[in-house]
Amino acid sequence: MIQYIDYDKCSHCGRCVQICPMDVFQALGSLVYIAHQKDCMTCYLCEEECCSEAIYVDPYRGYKAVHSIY
Amino acid sequence: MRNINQKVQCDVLVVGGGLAGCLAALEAKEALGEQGKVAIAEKGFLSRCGQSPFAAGIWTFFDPAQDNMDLWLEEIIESGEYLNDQPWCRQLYELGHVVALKLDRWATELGKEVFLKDEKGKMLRRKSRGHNHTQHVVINSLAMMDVLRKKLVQSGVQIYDRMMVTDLFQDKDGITGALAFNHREGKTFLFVAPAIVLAASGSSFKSSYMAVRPLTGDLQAAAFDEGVVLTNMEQFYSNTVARDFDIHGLNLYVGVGGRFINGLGKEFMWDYHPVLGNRAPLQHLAVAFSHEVAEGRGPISLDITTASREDQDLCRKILPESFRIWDRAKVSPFESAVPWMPVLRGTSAAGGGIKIDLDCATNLRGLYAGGDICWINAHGTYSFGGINIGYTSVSGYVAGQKAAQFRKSLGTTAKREASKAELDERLYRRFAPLTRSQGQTPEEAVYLLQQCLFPYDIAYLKHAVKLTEALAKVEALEEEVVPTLVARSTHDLVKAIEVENMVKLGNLMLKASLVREESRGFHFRKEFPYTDNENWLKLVLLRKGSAGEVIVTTEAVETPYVKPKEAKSLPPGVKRTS
Repeated sequence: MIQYIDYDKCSHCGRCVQICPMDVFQALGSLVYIAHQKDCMTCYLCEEECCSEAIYVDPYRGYKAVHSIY
Repeated sequence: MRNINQKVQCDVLVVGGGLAGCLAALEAKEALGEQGKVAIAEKGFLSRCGQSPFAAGIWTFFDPAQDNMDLWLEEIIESGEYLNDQPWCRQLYELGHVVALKLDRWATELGKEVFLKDEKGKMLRRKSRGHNHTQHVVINSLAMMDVLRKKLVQSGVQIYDRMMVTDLFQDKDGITGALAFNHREGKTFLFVAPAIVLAASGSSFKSSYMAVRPLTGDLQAAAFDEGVVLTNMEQFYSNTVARDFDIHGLNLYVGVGGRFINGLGKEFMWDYHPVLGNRAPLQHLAVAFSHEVAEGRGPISLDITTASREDQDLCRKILPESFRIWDRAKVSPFESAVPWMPVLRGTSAAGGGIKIDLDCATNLRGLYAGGDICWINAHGTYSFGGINIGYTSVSGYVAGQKAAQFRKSLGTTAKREASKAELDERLYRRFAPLTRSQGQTPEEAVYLLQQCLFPYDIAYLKHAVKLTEALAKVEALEEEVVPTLVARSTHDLVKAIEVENMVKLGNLMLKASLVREESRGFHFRKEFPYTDNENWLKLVLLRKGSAGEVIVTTEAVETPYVKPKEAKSLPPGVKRTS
């Protein structure tokens, strides 16, 4: 699940806001922020598309999972 | 009281911006020409939405110059346990390479590499899970989606991103349009269109698989509410995944030598599928894993420690998102076995979905469908890897052409759109969660629903007692929880509507499971642990009646090319040897 945006690195290009499939990010003017962290599905599209490596996504899921065999 | 903020008139509306939807929109626009108005509405951002950007790379590709159609048909139909729509299997093979070559031309024009090629520039063909004669090409899905978005813009198709389509409208002559809202801006839209292609996927019920959380079967539910026939709902399409990470890529992992190991250290799949073993089709895996665990031989692991360096690099190239997860968690699937499990993909792809004919037409005039939103009838139950993307591309391509053809056949039409009364009623119902001061959150409701569907003794080792219990719980969710769902923004409203749709589909899946009294594909009934081709070579069809009731019928499956060899046989997921 997404953990943070490093604002020392963020170039405010807005690509993460544009593409996130779960609408996790919002923009206030040119400031991009994580508006809906719990909706993150750990797909890593934002990290892959971020041109300044400003986004960190933890690999573990951020929701309570129901499994079939565990 | 909410009103419609914007009305959009179009000749063809496509709902869903993945591979199927994009191809449908492009074909429709090409057929209608410059004057034709084609719109495509996508819940996310088209090109980074749904499953298509994560399509883990393989596309069934029949080459008429070198491949034998009869052998390929035999393979897909036998693997699909004879439930396949056999003429559709032929169409999949006849058109798969046509669509692939067209997409490759677009990619070349735009300077992108979509299909992996050899040193001579020829598309690379391989086999992976479930393949004997059949083969597939390998795609780079992100590049593919970039090409499709660019082509849509170039061709003049109107793209509506962040647009959730909630309802369909019809009159006595067929489909008339759709209700939608932009969930970032809160604006409501009425799309007025006499031809619509639904390409908005099925529901994976927010399960633990890479990037499935947007796939909630919204338009399967909306179509069902308008009397569209759904079928194959008792097949709980399932893949397999790491227990601890929401990754993807099973096709590739078994293709590079992956082996499933049980708690006793045994490579058990050879007992269940002596010919293909670990490369057995998905239904064999889901049911077999469940039997292993039920009989005390869990847990299950996947071991790909024998993959060559070259194959490891291929996996990394095709599955970049999953490898970010592995690398970040400091877990390498190439160094040690990884705990593994079945994961419900529900009504996506080979699971239940909209029933279409060879022209991708539904039973509602003017309404077409393509991609995972359909029951992938070429699969049967589930045949082999590569069909999901192959079918998605061919059905999107055909649906777009046929929708445009239908639109042209109408000529200049009189205005046909939903009445104000109908619009008011739907808007009121859909936006109700925003007006509630307290109630259940969508996340809580999803968790409750998953508990009714996911456990292996409901999903894979079925029995009427457990199915009936689960159905009663889902009906209670529908009556007591859904009407209390609360949303504080149009972002959350999406989640509330998704839950309502998933509960509806879960209900239909359990009902259909109680109907089929045999075992086939992902559907294993403990009371009927055999495949019965004498009595059950049929589809189970579900349709909403005029009083809101669910009408269940069956339809015999035609077998013009390949017929079952046995009247009764062992189903998937049951041991053939010990």
